[in-house]
Amino acid sequence: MVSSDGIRGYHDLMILGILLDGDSYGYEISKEITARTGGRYQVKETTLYSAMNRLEKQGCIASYSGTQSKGKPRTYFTLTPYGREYYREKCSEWTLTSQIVQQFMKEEIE
Amino acid sequence: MSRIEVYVNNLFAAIPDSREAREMKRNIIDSMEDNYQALRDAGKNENEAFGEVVSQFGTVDEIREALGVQTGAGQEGGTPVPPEMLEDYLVFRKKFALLLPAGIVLCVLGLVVMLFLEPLLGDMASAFLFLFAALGAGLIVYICLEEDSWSKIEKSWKRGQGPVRYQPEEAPEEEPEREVSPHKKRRKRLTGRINSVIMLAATLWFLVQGFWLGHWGTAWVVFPVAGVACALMKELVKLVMER
Repeated sequence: MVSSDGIRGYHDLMILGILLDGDSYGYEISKEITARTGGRYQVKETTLYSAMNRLEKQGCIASYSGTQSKGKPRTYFTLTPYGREYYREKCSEWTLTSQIVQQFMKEEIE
Repeated sequence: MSRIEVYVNNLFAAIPDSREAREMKRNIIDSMEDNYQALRDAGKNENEAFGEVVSQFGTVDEIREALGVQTGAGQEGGTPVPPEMLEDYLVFRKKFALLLPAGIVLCVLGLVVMLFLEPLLGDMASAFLFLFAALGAGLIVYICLEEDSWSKIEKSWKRGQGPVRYQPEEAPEEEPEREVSPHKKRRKRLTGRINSVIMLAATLWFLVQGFWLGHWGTAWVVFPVAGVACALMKELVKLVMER
């Protein structure tokens, strides 16, 4: 079980990382997160949409209305150039964080 | 409005209206309905799918944080639930405590009655067993179906330490939401009750026709007729309530 405190702050990285591969919409993104983590992490609706709301406000992603097969308009999200930059920053941040934490991990504990 | 829409609307009732909030609400509803559809396609029934979708919702606090809204005083720990939903829930709990044992008692009573009437009516006594059992079973099924709908919602509340009565801070914004729900809920409850009565009456009629008159071959017609009657009553109730 992943603690929500641990993963907090990296939802942005997950979402932006998925959008790198192409535009997507809410449900597809949440499905993709579950799929890529092999079911080990499932993002909550509220968490996902709070993050996306924030990313849009920051200018990292942009939304537009696209149609789906049933004819109902659906909100799609796309990565902006600023979003790409922010993603790179987040990736280095994570690498740094994990390197730091790694210093305190022991192979075997008595 | 779909069940999911009603549920999300109830949870968002605690949040002041804004274009952002409405957009987020719309996105969440769409996503949940996509998820619901996928679960149904995977073979889950309505209640299972609804329950799962609801359990993945998360907490209202996250939404508040995202929209930059203040958390109300006294909300710590509990999941704020609109008072109406809470009342419905308490009513349901009382009903459950009453109807489940009642249903079971009826079934047992049926057996007892049958045994008593055996010397008097011979084979006909078993009709009483079926009658009572049908009523009892009907009650049990009815209350368990309702229980099913509530159980997943209950679980999502338990994560936030149980339902807590929400104190609305800005009354004017809450009113429009409340006006729509009570009518629909009352209508649904009324329709539900009428349907139960119709179906039970149909079952009774069928058994009577069968056991006492032996018309098993034709008596089954009562069921499709009852189905149509249920649909008719639903429309009638809608009409009456719209006045």
